[in-house]
Amino acid sequence: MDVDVELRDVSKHFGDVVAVDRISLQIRRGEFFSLLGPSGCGKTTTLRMIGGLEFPTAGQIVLRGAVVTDLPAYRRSTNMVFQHLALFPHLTVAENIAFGLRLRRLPPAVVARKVEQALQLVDLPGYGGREIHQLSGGQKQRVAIARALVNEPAVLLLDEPLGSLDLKLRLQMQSELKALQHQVGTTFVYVTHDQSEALVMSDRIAVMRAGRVEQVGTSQEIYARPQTRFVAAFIGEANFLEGRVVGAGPAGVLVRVGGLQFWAAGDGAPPEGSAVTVSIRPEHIKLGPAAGETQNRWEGRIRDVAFMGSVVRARVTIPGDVTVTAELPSDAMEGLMPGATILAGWSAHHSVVLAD
Amino acid sequence: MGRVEALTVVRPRRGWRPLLRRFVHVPLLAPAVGLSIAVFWTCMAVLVVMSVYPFLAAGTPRFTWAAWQRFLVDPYYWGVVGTTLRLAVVVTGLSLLIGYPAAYAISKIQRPGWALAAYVVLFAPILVSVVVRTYGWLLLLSNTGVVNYVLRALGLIREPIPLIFNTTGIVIAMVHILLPFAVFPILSVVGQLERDLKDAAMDLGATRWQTFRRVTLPLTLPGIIAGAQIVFTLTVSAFVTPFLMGGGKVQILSGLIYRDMEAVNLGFAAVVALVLLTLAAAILAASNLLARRTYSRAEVARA
Repeated sequence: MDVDVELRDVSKHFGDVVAVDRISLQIRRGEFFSLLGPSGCGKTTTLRMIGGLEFPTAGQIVLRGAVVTDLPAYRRSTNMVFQHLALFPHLTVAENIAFGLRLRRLPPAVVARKVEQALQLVDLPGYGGREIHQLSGGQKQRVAIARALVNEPAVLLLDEPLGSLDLKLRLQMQSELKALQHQVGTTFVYVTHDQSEALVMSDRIAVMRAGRVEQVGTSQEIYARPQTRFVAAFIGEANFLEGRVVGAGPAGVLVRVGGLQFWAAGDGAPPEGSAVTVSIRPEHIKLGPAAGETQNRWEGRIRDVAFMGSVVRARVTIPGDVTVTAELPSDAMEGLMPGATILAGWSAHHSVVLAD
Repeated sequence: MGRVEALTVVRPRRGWRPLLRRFVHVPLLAPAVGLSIAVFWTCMAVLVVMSVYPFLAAGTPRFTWAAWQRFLVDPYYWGVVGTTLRLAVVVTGLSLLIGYPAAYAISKIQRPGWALAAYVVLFAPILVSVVVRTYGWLLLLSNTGVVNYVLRALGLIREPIPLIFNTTGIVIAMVHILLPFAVFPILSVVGQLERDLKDAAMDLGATRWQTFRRVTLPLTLPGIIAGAQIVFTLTVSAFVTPFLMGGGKVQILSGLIYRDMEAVNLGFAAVVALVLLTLAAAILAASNLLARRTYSRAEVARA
């Protein structure tokens, strides 16, 4: 598989502050790759280094096989969609989109044709003559994307471009962006702090924290098999149980949490006796008859039940004074009464042993 | 509910309160308008009358176009108009050429202490009287002044370069005196320029120069125009500095007014004053047209 972008031990220091700390990544051709993390984790700095708007303090950046570490932005085949879009207010929509093409001195006829195609692509035909301030938020978004894509970059860099849109429009733009990426086949590197956005759109995600990459994987891998507590907590919600490894076997790792002992899944079993955290997603905790099929199940007592629309959440205390939160479809709410006794359990492969 | 609210809104207002609210701006505006009418517009009216009744002051009013004819027919006076405009254009151009990079650099200063220092260095001269500064330049630029002394000491010249009592001297002193007025409006616009826009231009393939030409310059044009207007207006109407630095050898419109006032040639002085005013107004109006075209877009940029 071709690699479009490769980061080799890239670091970026701003004075004493380490924004990016020795990260290495490989981004494949044509994939939708997300850099996900809380604000200040270095994701935007990483993106800007790929785009040549920021230069690494150490390490190498390789773009389609060529080392571009110190090349300025205007000599790289990357284009960026900025967080605040950065459309040129003194130019019309068409002039904005033509900006890069004109710099490459393409003939006016070619520029006009490409601009028209780009407007078609982002579903804004006939908007070329508009002023930027006449556009709505969503339309500006599309112009920003068209302005970048019209240059046919090797890699399109997107810096939280949907952050300023309201929820409904954001969801719509998410699916449109994904469809657009599929259509043009360009490698997208997408920066976001919104885990659901990353899960929906990405082929692969790199979860970042404090300048480092915590885990790289597909949406499903990151969600189902988080490797660290940070990743498990950042992506979706999870029950964390603190315990100790008491054994290992083909089925996984045997963990003791308080008075409980159960099998959990873990990559590379930690040595016996070491302290570990086990993560279980709320929707993987089964209650009532459904729990009958799980390997790890106990009689529990319901503490409280919260109705959340399509789902309900119930907190259940199981033996050993361990309280877990379960999430079930709303129609399973019948019979969930605080104080009632109920069977609660989860499958071994749904409880993941994390490295701290 | 909505109905009740609508009713309260359309309820007619009675009494003097609405009236008061309507004219609340009158007392606020009165001093400024009053002063303007008393001083400026009255003087304008007197000027216009004086230009056609030249002996009004002496007490024998008689209508005549003589002063206007003299000014408009004699090529010497057109020459003076030309000198005045040329001087203003050169001073404005140089002020912008020096002021723009200065404003740009100041906006880039990160440390507040250094920014303050830059402001002080640049703007402190405003606190010193124009007369004092002009005499300072006379000392520096005269044949025996510091500049000529250094140039001769370095062996670069043998004879002193005449730097005063000519246009060169006027331009040097005027640019120095008016530079802050060019820097300030540019600074206020440059400071508001989004960094992102320059990044975007570079990302789209623009070199630093192309980014400046295609993004920074057009977006800071309103500041440039404002600075140019101020410097230009102040130069065409300047008197003290051109008078002292020119040493009577460079004649401009303001000097002409002074000469005719001295000679109690009030009618002609009025004509020159009106010509000067018309020129300044016409050029301001033209540049405003240009400005409006660039403003409409740049304003939105800041919104």
